Amino acid sequence: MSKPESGCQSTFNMNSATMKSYFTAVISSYAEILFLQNPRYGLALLLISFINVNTTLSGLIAVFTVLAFAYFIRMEVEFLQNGFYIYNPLLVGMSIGYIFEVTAVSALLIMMAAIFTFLLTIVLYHLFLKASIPILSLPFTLVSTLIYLASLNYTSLYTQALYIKPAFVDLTFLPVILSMYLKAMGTILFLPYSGVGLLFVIGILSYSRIMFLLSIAGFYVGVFVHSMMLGSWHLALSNPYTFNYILIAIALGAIFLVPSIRSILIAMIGVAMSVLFIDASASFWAIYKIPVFTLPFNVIVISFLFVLQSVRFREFAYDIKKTPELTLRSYILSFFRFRLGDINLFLPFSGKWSVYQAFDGEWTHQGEWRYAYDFVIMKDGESFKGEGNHLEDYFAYKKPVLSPVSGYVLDLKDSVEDNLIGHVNTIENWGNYIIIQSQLGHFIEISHLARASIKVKKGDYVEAGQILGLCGNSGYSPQPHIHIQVQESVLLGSKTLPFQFVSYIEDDHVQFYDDPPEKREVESYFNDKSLDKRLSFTLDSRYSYDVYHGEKIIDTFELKVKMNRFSGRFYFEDQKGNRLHLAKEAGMFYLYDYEGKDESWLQKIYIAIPRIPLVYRKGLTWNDYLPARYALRTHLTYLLSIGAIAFPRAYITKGKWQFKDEQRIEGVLFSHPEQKVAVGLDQSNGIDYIEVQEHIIRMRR
Amino acid sequence: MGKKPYESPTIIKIESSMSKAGLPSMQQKIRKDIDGVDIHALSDEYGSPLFVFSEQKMRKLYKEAYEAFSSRYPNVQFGWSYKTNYLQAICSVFHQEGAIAEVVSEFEYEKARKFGIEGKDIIYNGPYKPYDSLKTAASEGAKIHIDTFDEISDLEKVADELGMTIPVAIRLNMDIGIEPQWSRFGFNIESGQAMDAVRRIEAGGKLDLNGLHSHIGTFMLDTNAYKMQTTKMVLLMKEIEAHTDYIITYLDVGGGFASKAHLKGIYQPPEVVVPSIDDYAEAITSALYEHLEHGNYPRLYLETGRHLIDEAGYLITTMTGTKRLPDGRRNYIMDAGVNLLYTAFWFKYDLELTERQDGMMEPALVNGPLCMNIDVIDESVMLPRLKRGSKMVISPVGAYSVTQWMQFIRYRPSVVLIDMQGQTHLIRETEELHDVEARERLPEYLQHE
Repeated sequence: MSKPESGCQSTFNMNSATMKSYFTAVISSYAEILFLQNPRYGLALLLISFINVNTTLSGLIAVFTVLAFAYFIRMEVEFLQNGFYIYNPLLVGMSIGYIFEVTAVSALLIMMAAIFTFLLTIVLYHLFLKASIPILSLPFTLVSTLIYLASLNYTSLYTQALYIKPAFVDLTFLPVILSMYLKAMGTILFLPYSGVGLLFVIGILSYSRIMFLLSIAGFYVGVFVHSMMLGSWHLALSNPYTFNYILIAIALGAIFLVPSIRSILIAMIGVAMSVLFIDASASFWAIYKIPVFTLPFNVIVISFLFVLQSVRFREFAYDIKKTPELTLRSYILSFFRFRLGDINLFLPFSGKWSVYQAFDGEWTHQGEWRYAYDFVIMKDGESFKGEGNHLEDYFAYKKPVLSPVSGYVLDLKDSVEDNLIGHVNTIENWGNYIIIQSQLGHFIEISHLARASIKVKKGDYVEAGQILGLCGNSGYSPQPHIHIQVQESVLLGSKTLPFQFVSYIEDDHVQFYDDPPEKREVESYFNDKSLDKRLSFTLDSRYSYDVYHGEKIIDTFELKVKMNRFSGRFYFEDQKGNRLHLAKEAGMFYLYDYEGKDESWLQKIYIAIPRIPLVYRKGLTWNDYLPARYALRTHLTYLLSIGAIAFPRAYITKGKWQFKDEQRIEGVLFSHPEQKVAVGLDQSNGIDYIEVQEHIIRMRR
Repeated sequence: MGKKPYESPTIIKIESSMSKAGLPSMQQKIRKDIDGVDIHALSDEYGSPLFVFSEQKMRKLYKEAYEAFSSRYPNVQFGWSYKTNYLQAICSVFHQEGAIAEVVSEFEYEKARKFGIEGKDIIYNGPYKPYDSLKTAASEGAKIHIDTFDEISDLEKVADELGMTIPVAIRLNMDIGIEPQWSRFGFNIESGQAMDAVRRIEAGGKLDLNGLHSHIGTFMLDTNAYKMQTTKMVLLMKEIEAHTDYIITYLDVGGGFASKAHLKGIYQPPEVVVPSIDDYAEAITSALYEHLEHGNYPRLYLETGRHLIDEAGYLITTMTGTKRLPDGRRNYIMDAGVNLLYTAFWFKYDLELTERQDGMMEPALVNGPLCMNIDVIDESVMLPRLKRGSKMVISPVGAYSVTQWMQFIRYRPSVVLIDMQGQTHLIRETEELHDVEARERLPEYLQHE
């Protein structure tokens, strides 16, 4: 990929790559109107839309006007990435072309409308961005309404109003109940013909089964509710705005929320509500002879998303993938692999410590301060040796306290005396403490450090794992221990927030993203430099592999390490363009988000080793989860993804891995039947070999 | 009751209990059992002399040492120093506890491999590593610690032969303010020799430098020396990483931690002068925290030998004869001597009796069974008059004795392990004539009819 050069936009020399990305952006925006993220579908839609040449032409005029305008104001090519910018002007253009024939005058109208839509889109986009809410087609609705209102005065435009309806595109033989659904589908792109709708439905069906089912459910639920109100099936069916039901159902049930029973119910509630909206607004808008367009869809979906976002609705789709199926898969995997909590800490010590008090602990972790952990070192059931009358008898006393996050030290105190055993300090109950603000902005507080032991200063930047001070017995502390909490603000004693520990070892097993219960003994770890080095994949480095079946080499392939220049995410890519993302953070190396063909060697690597903790202990084990279909090698993908809406667990396969020695990892996938996998790490860098299913993939030297 | 045999009278200087020299031990030291197993029962069953190892003590010492380090630094690995004691049962206990193997010769390397330890779990040290063994170790992925420039050349040849890049570490020596400075092992830091070695490896391009090793001495009583050693190693690591592409993934600070043994020439008892394992851990880890860049922790290897095994080893010996020396000292001849206790030259052992004896304490010279003047277990120890056949327990003798013992004049005795449940296990049998002669070849013309 070529980097955008700053001079590129300042001259009027458009290169072919730029042209291509403009073209892709245009056809993509067609697809995005139907929530399809695939330019090929966009191209098909564009071609189909030529059934009504006038609409299509005015849509394209709008789009090219916007592109020219963007180019003129030297906007960066990156803006094309965002579909909202183009599809709103496109819809506005089409809505104008739907009633006005393209002439010099109407073209001028379209161009003005398009630029205004573009401006409004950017304004709204930035306003909505603060709340992380999409703007959908709200700009289109607003501008089209404006244009329709204005054009009431432009009598000259009406003279050649078009209502030509190509005969062949309406499937008159279909029962009304079906043809109206298809017609509603067509209406989304200003082509209210059942024949066109049928093509769209086929497109959606081939793209996503979940979207297809939701479009049907949404349409008929909406019509049913409407008919109950109106007392007439026929009236409900023939309402021109029924396409809103389809859009709401798909947007809420599958796109902006992760498909799930709960999301679908919300989508149906939204559909039912939209009935009222359509009727009310149609009565009101009708006075001025303007259509409601997608206003019900926009208002309802945006309201829902705003509220669901603010209550941190668990199924809110923070990571929208190309299809709802992929969104769901990524969500389920993330849920099982990364637990989706947003405050993650390392354990604040070295070695094995025991949980003395966890969240809602019975002694002091109550009320506003319920989310906190206390740790002590225990041996044979005691936290001290001898009589335990002296601070020095306690195993935890004066042991290093390590930073649980990377961030800045905002506040600390280092002067409170350590209490003698049996005494507590009720005046300065936090004792000697440190408050650190993590890179993600969370406030982490650690208490009861030993007097004069703190080794950092206010304003220092500390890395996770760096020594902060020594464990002590200052403040409200009956025996030496480490107290850790995440709180709302930098102020000492402010309200605590729930958090989880990124990774730790418990009984030779690595736990990822969990909160250990009371009395459990847990061992911390920080990145081992050796594993870190061996699993460092630098940009543009290449790895060649031979694939063996028995003794015979049956295939070879090469992996290249690349980076997505927008997201900064690293991935492996093979010569066929399959991609597998990789990351190294939070004490582990992991693979995720495989994009490409099933049954590729890259996918086999993913199956064999989805995650490696960056700590070595002989015999150490850990669990991980894979998409079930990778492990099962099944072609029942459709059923699996639909089933996953109700039974997420069916969609994943659990596996368990173990360090046999510093270079060999063996794993078992609990599929039926079980599969054994193994991975060899190179002594210096990279993956030496993979044993998966009946193949051995070996690095070529 | 028969008549007591005549003994000529002895004159003993009575030390004041508050004398400047401290309190001479006038108390009889009595040990009736080891981990609950009666001493006499042991020698009745397995003979005398007899080495006895306590598994309980070994595991306790290991756990204490591991926890002392791991509770201070999150990436710690112990390597069991084979030369300290390579009896299979002993190695097995430490391997079970999680230690990998640290070997210093092809013999020890083979021993570890035969024992099922993978090459990757072997640290290969030592000033002389034969070419063939370097090749084996490299192909098996052992952690090879280079001692000389010649070894760099050897390893590069091996790398060519095997067609691989060999991960290696270099051994370092340095001035840490103590005498004697162990300067004959590895490359010197202060003179720039260590950096030269790094450059030399880099120029060859066939080895991947990923570790630094140094071992500053043995029975080190000054924890500050470790602090200086660690600091110098970390600083060198930073220098290497700043000037080359190598990433140092581990630091091996060796061993040399003292056990609670009494070194001759040190006046105070070991309980006073020997630092605790926590003191050693504190010195090393505080230097790491002070000088490391954070984010990634190099693994810290420790090759502690003596500290983990010395106090777990006992030698049961029997008094076989006694006489009075011309200077008035009582002289006892034991059935074990320097043939089994090579370390007797440096250490003053604890000598314990198995039962209280009547009579007053008198200075005694305790000798071994060799007909050599140097066979002395203790030159001067206060003992009550011992009866012939009475037992004595010598400790701590767990470190180096069963590796440095000699088959000289006498057979080497049995070794017993007392497990966690107090059960005894014979882990090495007394030698027989065959064991000694098995490798001999008698030329035909010398064989008599």
